[in-house]
Amino acid sequence: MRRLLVALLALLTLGYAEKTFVVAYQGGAVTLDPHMRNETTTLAWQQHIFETPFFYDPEGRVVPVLAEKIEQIDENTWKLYLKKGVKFHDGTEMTAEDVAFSILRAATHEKSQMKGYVGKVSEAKPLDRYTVLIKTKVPDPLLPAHLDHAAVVPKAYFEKVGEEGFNKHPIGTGPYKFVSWLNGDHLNLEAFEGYWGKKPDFKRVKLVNIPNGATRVAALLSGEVDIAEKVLPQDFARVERSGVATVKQTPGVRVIYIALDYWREYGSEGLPEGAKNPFLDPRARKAIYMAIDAEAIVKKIMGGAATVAEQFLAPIHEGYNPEIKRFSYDPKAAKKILEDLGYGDTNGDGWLELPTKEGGRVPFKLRIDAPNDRYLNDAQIAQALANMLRKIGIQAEVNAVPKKVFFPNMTKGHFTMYMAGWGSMDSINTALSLFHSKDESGLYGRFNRMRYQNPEVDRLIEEAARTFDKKKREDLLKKAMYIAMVEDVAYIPLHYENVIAGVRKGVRFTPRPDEYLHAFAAEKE
Amino acid sequence: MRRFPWLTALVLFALVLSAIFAPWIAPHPPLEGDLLRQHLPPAWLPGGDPRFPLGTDEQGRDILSNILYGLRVSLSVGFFAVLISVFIGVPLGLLAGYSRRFGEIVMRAVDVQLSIPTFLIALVVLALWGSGLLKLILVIGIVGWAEYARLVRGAVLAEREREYVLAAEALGVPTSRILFRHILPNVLSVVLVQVSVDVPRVILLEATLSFLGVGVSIETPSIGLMVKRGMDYLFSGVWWTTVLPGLALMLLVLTTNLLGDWTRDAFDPRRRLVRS
Amino acid sequence: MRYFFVRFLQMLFAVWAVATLVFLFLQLTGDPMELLAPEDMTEAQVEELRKAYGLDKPIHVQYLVYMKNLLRGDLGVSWTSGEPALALLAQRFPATLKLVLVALGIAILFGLPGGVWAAVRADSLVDRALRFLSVVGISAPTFWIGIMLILIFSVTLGWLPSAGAQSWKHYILPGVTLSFYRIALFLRMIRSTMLDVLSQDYVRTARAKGLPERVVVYKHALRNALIPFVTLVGLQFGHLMAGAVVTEWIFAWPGMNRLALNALFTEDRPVILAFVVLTAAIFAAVNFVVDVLYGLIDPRVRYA
Repeated sequence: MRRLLVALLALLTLGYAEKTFVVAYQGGAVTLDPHMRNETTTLAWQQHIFETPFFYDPEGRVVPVLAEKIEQIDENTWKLYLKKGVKFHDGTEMTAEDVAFSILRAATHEKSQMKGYVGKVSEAKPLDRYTVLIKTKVPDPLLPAHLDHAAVVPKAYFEKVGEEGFNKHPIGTGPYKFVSWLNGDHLNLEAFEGYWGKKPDFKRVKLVNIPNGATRVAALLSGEVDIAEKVLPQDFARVERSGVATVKQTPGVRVIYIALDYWREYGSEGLPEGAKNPFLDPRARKAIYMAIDAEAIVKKIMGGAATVAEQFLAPIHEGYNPEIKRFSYDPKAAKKILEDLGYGDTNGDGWLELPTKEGGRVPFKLRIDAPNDRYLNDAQIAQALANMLRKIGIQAEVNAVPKKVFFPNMTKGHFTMYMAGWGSMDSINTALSLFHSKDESGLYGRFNRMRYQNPEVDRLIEEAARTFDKKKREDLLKKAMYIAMVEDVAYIPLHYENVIAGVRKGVRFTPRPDEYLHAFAAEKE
Repeated sequence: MRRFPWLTALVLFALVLSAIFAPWIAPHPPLEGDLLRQHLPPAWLPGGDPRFPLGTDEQGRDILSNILYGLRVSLSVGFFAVLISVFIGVPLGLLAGYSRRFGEIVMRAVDVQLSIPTFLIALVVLALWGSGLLKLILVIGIVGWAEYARLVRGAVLAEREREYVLAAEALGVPTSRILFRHILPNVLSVVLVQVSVDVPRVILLEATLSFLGVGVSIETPSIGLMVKRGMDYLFSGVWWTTVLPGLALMLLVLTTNLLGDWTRDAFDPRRRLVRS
Repeated sequence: MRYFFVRFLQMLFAVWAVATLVFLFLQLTGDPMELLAPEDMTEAQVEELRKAYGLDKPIHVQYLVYMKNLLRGDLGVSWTSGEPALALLAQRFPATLKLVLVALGIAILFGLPGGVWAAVRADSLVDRALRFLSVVGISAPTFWIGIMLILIFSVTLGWLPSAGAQSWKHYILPGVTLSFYRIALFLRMIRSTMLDVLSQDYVRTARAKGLPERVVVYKHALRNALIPFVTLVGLQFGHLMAGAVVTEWIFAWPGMNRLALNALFTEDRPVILAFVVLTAAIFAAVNFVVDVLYGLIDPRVRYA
């Protein structure tokens, strides 16, 4: 009886202790095993518990976290020096054993989704208590950056409790330690007293999943939530007016872009049956580019929650070329270009026309494919694009479908014109995936769905991927981007999505461009 | 017997007519939008525009036109899906009522079918197979067969014990003839009552599935989709995009249900007994 | 006894058939690697992943493995989270159960007395009003009710929260949303069975004997109407456990229906399968219990 009373009292005092700091996300982590799923929200929740040897700082620079520094021995060999005195949540010290084990697990676990980053690692072994030797199968100049996906777990504990046990009570070196969670719904955390770095301002933290944007804002304004990510543009004014919270924005790294069929002369699936595909000619691609009012999309549809993109890479990226500017919005000129190319209106109905293989002419109909549940206001943007193209005489229609229908069709090349997004901190990865021509082995051009190709660009990208000197690498990328974006009009950039968070008054917080939202980055004012 | 609900029937008739003739009476094409007239309030409110009597949505599309077209979709799903169910379920039920062995097989299949809610089957199938008006009608229609088969079989079993059937059998009338000439007309009232329950249920099912984003495709005007999109603006003072379409749908389902109640009272043999 | 045994076998058959059909259906929906493999994996890495999930084997082998595990109560491991699908559902089962019980409680609280009242005052103004309201209740789409409640009580008045399940206040809006349809259903059902019973001979006899109306209504009529009512409540329980998808989604409820919906959107096949099989099992069990109860009450059922 007395024990019960004491327990009750303890519970009561707990209740009166400092209020829990609550952060609302649009999704929820689906696992706390840090080497399984490469998905933003899952990683963001995990990053409260785990840390990696290197990570990106909010300015997009790769900085050491658990690492002290890294040294390159030869093309395929690296020596990783670790910080000393870093403690895991169970009190044991992090050593080279743990780090080697973690890197190898991320690189080789059969279900690991981190192989796109650390998959090139073939060997990681401790040299002494604080040094790890890493070998790669092929040279990887960006290995330090890629180690941002190798979260460090305690080897001894992990082997003792096994994968399942670890998932139930994960332990890392991060600023917060695990308390309890409901998969996909919420995660309770408590500040780790023995944390090596700057201790977080809020002792008790709860990360919750509130999928609906309007409800998330309501929770922020009612005080249930301290930070709410992805506040919808239509709610900005309401949040600001409320006096209890403000909206914070940071230009993000995700670019929303348009791609056009670059390889089929006939039979492109978004055009009328038998019509010639005009987009093999860079001038026609440029005409589409010039018909699109990116500024209007940002203002009207995105409600200002985006930044007009001058080019594919964002200013924060390596290889951003300030010489690349948007082609100016000019629907008249755009229409003229298409008319000069022979697609003009000959039957007087006001619509442009396309020649067919048989020598006839058909109306210039064009299907715009887009997902409707992937990017902020994606279907609306596609709708607006269609309206803009109709203004220059193209009978554009929108086919906006759920992402699970869209992406497989995109992979299979069923599109003539599609709208999608791309967000990666790693410019080499972007260049290799979207700008290098597609090869059969799938190593290059894996997301180059419309098969853009230019041997010169291929050469520049391949060379950049091999170059260890940062300056030289950047110059090669800039050159490749100039050719691709200005001479070839490989893609049409629209805007970079802003990263948005609603923040309660009294809390200092700025969102990161890479969309990871961390409670430990919030400070008391 | 209850009086025929004239007012209800009139309202329903008006709704059905305006849905059928939506392309002619809707003031605007339902999908035609313009960002410049985003979220206009209904015409009677300050800032409203008489060209858009019930206001516009986030793309500047006319709410009234979308409601009319949306009701059209609701009604076609309700009509065609139930038609499919009847066409599968009734023949199976007839045969099952007449042949013992076949009846056993059908009843096991009915058991399996009824052991998962229709809603869940439709949700799973459409979520994984992709959405679309035609798929939606097919899926809801096919899934709905079991209730008809079960009811018709029960009614057939009851009818078979009747004297006129026994007499016909004794006279050597072929089974198919007995089934379709004698029994079918007598079980039709059971089917009619079930249809009157099913149509409003299916209409709501379509709206719910579309609301969850797995019903009709995004380019189809649908009440469920309108409310889903409107939900994002719930807290920004834009209420007409959710409240009005929902009200229209409710009116449609309400009148259908009221008429269904009357049908049931009028045609359900058991009820007639109780009442008399 | 034989009757119950046969019913039990039929129940098992139904669950097995559902599991098989859903399994086969999932095979028709395309290559899961499109979703399982992150965008930046090479083909070789994708194949490795395919192997890790056992998806490289022929379908009949996958099916046998699945059935073997199912018999042992193992419903597979979630593709997205790597946790056992059944454990994921079990974690969220209590939240759904509590919500369903609250909703049923509200529905009984209003539906039962409402139905009795309407029946006793048959064809009066009260009866007609209640009957009309109950038709409105079954005609309103659940998702719309939920949104209207949010609009009124969260947005306009700011009285009640609209997301999550942290306190008793969080139960009110989703509970009312879910109960709306059931109140109407219960009311209609109680009313019509009460009317049936009230017109039976023995009730007339009781009245003729001069028993007070209150006794007639509550002791004789209501008691007889309660048996089918309990059945209906039982069936609605089954329906709600797997039918609260919309409500859980609107109110961000941490229940298993929302988990299932997420699994559908991410095509997490093991979780989808587990949810459907679990639902079929709950349904079959509820039906079985109802059958058994009926069989006990009314022995004629067994021979029908």
